[in-house]
Amino acid sequence: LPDDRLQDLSISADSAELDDLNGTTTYAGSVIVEQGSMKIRAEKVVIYGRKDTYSRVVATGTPARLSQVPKPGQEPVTARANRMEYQITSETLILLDNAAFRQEGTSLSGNRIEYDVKKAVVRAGGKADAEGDDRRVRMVIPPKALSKEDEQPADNNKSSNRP
Amino acid sequence: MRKNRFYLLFIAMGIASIVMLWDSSENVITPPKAEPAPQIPYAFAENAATRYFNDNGVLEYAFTANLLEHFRVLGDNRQPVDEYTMVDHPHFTIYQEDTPWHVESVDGKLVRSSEQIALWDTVRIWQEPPERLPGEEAPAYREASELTTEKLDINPVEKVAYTDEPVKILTPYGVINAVGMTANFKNRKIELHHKVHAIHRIPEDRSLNE
Repeated sequence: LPDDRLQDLSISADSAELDDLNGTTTYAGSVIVEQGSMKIRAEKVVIYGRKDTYSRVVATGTPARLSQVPKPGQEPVTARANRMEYQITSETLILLDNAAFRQEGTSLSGNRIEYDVKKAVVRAGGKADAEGDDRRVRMVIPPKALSKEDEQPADNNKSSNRP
Repeated sequence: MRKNRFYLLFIAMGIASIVMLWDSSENVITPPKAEPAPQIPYAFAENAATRYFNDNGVLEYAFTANLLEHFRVLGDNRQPVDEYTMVDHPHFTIYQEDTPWHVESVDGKLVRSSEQIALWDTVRIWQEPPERLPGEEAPAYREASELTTEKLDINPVEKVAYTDEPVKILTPYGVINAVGMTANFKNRKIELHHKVHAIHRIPEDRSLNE
């Protein structure tokens, strides 16, 4: 939700390490991170930043999973990847390695997926040095979503001819 | 003049008792005759205060307490095998580069052989915010961090503190609860061992930056 980033970050885990010198807090073991409607499940989560300046959250797992409601009433966006980086300042989520993303029925998978949380825009790409299938991005658009797009042009013609 | 001499004698006795209790390098105290059952302290100090300097003469930690009661543990042959000190309201100040850490509790025990310090009953560790330079803006809120638990074992020389009890860490940016902790004041790392639950507060003015 738009004001997710203003909410407190709640985290539960088996163990944690606070490293004051490097400015990191590492949570490990069945980690659950929640901030408003955003929820991350991972094996390990590292929060970078200290005092009140958190810059990013990195979650790793096999895979790590995320869900978040983009706008009230919308279906949650879900994502999974072996490594997720959430850049707090730019509100960008980067999925790396075995990445998959699903939004309103459309799913996308590849090796690197970038999701702009604020604009709800997603960009996908393969790994530059990958071979074969690893370089390719797969996108699945369900028929229902397709048919809605087909009708759209017809409606426009009708409305434009009206006197 | 007599008053001064009495006063000097009193100070000398005070320092001597502190040295006797703390100087673990040589055996300053010649062991008196066989002591009665060890539960009777054979030496005590009220309002005790001591400071520990490292080899370079740098102050590493300071220690005060309302009451120190010193006991001896006798072996089968009635010879002393160990010594320990029960402490009432101990307070440690462990000196770091910029801001010292404070450690205090209601009760404590210092064991000479292992140099371990056990603290229990409202154990509190906190770090004062760094001193403000003249003219520097006061931070919006005191940036002190505080940790509380019910039991803590400390090794002051290694600057490590450990507990297997629940701990709560409060900072201006959130709160973390867990069970079991190891705090290393030297490399400024705190490990929380079980059942960690944290709330990281996102600041009002949202000044999140790199």
